[in-house]
Amino acid sequence: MKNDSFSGFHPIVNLSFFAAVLTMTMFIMQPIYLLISLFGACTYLLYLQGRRGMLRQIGYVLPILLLMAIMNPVFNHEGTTILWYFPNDNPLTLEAIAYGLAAAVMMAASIVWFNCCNMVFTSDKIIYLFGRIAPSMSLLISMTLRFVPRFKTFLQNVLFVQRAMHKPENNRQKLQQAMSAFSATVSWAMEHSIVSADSMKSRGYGTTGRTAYSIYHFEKRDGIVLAVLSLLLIGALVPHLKGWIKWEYYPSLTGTLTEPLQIFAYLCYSGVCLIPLVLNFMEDYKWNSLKSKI
Amino acid sequence: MELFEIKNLSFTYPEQEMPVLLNVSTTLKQGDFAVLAGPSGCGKTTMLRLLKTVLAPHGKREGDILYHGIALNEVDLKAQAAGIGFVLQDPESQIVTDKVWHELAFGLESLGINNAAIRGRVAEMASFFGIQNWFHMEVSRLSGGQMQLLNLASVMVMQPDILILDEPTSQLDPIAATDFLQTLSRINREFGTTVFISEHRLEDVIPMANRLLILDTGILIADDSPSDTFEILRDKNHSMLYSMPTPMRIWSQLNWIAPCPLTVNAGRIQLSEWAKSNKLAPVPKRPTTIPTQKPCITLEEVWFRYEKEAPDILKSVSLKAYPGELLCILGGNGVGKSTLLSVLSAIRKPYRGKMLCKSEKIVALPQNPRMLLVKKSVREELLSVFPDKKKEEIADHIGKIVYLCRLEGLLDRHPYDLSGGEQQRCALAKVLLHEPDILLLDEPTKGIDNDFKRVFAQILKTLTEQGVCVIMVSHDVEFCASYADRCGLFFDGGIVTMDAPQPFFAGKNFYTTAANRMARHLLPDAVTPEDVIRACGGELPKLDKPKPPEKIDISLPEEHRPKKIPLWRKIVTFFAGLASLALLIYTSAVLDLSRLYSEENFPGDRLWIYLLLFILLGLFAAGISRRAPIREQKLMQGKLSKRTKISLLFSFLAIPLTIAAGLMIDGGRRYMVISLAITIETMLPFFLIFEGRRPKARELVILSVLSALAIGGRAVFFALPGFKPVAAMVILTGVAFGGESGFMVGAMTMLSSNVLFGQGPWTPWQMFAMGTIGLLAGIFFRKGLLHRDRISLSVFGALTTFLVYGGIMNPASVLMYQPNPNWQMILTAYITGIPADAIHATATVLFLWLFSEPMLEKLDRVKVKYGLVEK
Repeated sequence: MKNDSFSGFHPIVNLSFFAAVLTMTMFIMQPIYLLISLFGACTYLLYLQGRRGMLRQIGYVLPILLLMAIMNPVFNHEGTTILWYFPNDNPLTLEAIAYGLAAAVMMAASIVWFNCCNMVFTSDKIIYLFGRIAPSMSLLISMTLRFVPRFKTFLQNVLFVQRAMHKPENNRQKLQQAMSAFSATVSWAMEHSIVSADSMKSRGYGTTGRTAYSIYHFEKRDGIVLAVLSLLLIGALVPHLKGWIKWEYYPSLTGTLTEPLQIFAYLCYSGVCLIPLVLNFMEDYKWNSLKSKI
Repeated sequence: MELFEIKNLSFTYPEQEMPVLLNVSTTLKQGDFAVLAGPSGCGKTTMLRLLKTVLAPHGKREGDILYHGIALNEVDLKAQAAGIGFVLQDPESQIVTDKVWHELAFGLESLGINNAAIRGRVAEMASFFGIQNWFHMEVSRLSGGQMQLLNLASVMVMQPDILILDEPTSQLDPIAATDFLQTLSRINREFGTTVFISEHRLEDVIPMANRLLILDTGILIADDSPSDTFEILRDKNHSMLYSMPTPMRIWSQLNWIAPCPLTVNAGRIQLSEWAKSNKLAPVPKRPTTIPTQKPCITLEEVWFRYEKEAPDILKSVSLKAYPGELLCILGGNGVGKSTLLSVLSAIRKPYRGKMLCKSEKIVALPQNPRMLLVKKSVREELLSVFPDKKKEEIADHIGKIVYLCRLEGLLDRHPYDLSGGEQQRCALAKVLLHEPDILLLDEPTKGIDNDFKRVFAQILKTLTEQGVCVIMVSHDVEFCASYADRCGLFFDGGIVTMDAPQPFFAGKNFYTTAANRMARHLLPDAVTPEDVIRACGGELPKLDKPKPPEKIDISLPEEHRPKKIPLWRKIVTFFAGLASLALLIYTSAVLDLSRLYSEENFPGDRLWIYLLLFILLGLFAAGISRRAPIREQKLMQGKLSKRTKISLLFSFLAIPLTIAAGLMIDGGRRYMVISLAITIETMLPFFLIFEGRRPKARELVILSVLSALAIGGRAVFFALPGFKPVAAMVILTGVAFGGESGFMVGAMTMLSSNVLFGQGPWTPWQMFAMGTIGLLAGIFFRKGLLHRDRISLSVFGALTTFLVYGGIMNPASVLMYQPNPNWQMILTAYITGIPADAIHATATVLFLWLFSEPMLEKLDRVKVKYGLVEK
């Protein structure tokens, strides 16, 4: 993964961005909006993962999308523009195809955004955000994440030891060994959990007034990005709420796509979707200019 | 100033007659460095734990403990948390969070200190301990030594005025241990923090201490400066002396008049003084066994690396081991000693060189004996080695091993109630039941005190006399010098030198024993304290031989058998099962996807078949399951708590309201939003209540351990994709700890596993589905509606994974991916989902069938032992 500068912003900024982008992608079915979102998501993922990661993503997402795009016209027969009849006399409509395609793009965009989101939101950030509203649950997650690699190592070591002692001859014995290894892990984990609890209590857990420490500061630049994001969001959302960019698939495809006000809305929405990328480019540019000065 | 004043402290554990501590009185002053020593099980840990209220064991306590002149129980818990720092034995288990920085801040968070102040203190501590370089690391990537330093730092950050440490270095290798103790000494010297430590690595810690306290069977027999304490021990001729570091042993056995030497250097000077007026005899040569037989295992120029690109771990290792010898391979950390063992045990194959092994019977004892301990008693542990044989056939064999490993008195104990040394003997016994010709040991003396080491050495001696070849890798120079037949030094991927202990250590300058370092200028061949004592004409105590074997009874207690199912229910069950099976075959043959496409409307007639199938399955489940007997119900305290009821009520109210709202606002088109809102609303009350009642540390830890086990359990079935034990673990949690815990573990498992494997729009649905399974398990089994046996559990598991998990996740996938869903799509999703659901259900059933009983036993044990039973 590249050194992503958007990840370096405060988790609140990350969260606001992804929450905004994901909800808008899932709610606004206007074709241009969907394409903008998909473009923003893909370029960001390309920046984060490089070409190889991107290709892997496409290989994984494309089949689902094709299936979705086909599923809709097969099951839905709404719409007025009939193109063809299925063998069972159900009509195939242009509207259903368009809607299926739009849904596929919507899904693709949200999946790709989720992928970016998973790369930006490391466990630290999730725990931090959770810790604000639900301290016990955030601790629960943190501890779970701490225990998983530990148990896995132990489990693998036990399996190893057992195999050393007695090589399994068939699948039944393999399963038995796996079970007994898991059993040993459970015993061990249970007993050790008590030590962890003691260590927590010993360090004052359970007394009143617990605070949540974080290594994140809210800097000035976080405020600026948040402000820009809000402005752009207003510019992109208001046209949608007011119905200026209204687009309907059923019963027939209706709506305009290229009025000036709509183009303004597209620009705003593109601004929203490209924020991480723009921030990255700004930083890359700064580095390059610093380098050339030396 | 007195920090701690302990007056006539006695302590007795519940249901035991003998007190663990008897009339202990002592004081700890500001700036003291006090060491608490004594044989295993003498009450050291109890005494230390009594000094902090939250860690104090349950039992009957008499006498007073004053902290800053105030009775400890009356001191505010927060003041105790900050003022009394406690570091426990196991470095890994003490760490609670997943990141180093968070761990450092944990204590300060508990104290309620604000962010800016925490930042300052954490920075200060991290710099003092040199942690800044791994500040952002995940704790799982730290070494044992780093972990224990982190534990110390995260206690020090709270600025305690006393540090209490319970054998903090027993799990560390010698270099990390020395490092840790040096840091401790520095804290004591530079900040005047009082240190109270129990430790068996006395040679390192005694020179730092100004007080040495000796505890024997609960009585404080000495409490003075180290050298005065040794005088007292010598006057009493106490057996503890034989467990003391080399200079002290030599001093006590030779009855030198000068005060006890605390370091090798002081011992060396005293020996020189003594040698001026006394004559030294030559060091008696130990008989070296010249191997007459052929080697039983031979390595010839063996090379090994883990991957093709990785560096070589073993570089041209040549080795011969003979029957009946104890071969020790010494060397530093991470040089590949353990890899060598795995090559010897034929788990790993060398890529170059030859390995010849005459015997098939090679066994290895792992470094951590707990890896072999699975059952609920030592007896079952040993019997489980031969699951297919009758008890009578193996009684003699087991009896012999029990005697050899000195487990006679421990057979009915739970393996986890044993001390470290005893656990190791139990694991050794399990390994020895395979009657090996070659026994491989990995650091067997780690974390074991000197008494246990002596016993262990005797066991090894008996084995080698029987002709077993024992190969051990170790850091423990003293142990190897005393008991090995041959020693080898492993360095840079190869065995550098190999010889009998006396010539081996006598030729080394640095990598050698304390006795050799102390006496080499006068007695170059002396490598053990015994050598020095003999050369100086001292007497050695005779070790008592173990008693001859007795008849050892290995029979198991009778198990409780539940009542039989009446015949009519068997018949009902049989027919219901048969019918559902038939129906299953029928439906899978009839319902193919192409038929679905052609249906104009929702295929109602097919739905009937499904309904019938589920009714039959339900009948099957009801017939086969048993209601829990009354006795069990009491144990389970089977009422639903008010909280659970309220949560349930909320959820049921929220669902119709949301649907109504969805219909009103958007004409019911936003299926995804509505369903998402429903899942979140259903989960919310549980989460809110969980947050609201501020769960205790133990509950929190247990829940996270169970979640982690459910996630990590995937590694068991790594070969089989889709074969996850998650649902089974969640069900067992619900059964053992109640519906609320079941729900939390279910939901949090899915959330955390998605943190690891990637979040998506599916996360809330998965959380909801798994949570519901846990909740249902809690309701059905704790209410006593179903019996806690593996049949009921398996049937319940199959039904819930199919109906609840599949039932939620299949339509969820449609709602997620289709903005305009209809019934046909959902039905299609159900049918296409059947294979995946079937695998999931099979995994759950298999897991519950094989595993529910031991697992519940383990959960119940933790519950009872640590008082986790719900109020």
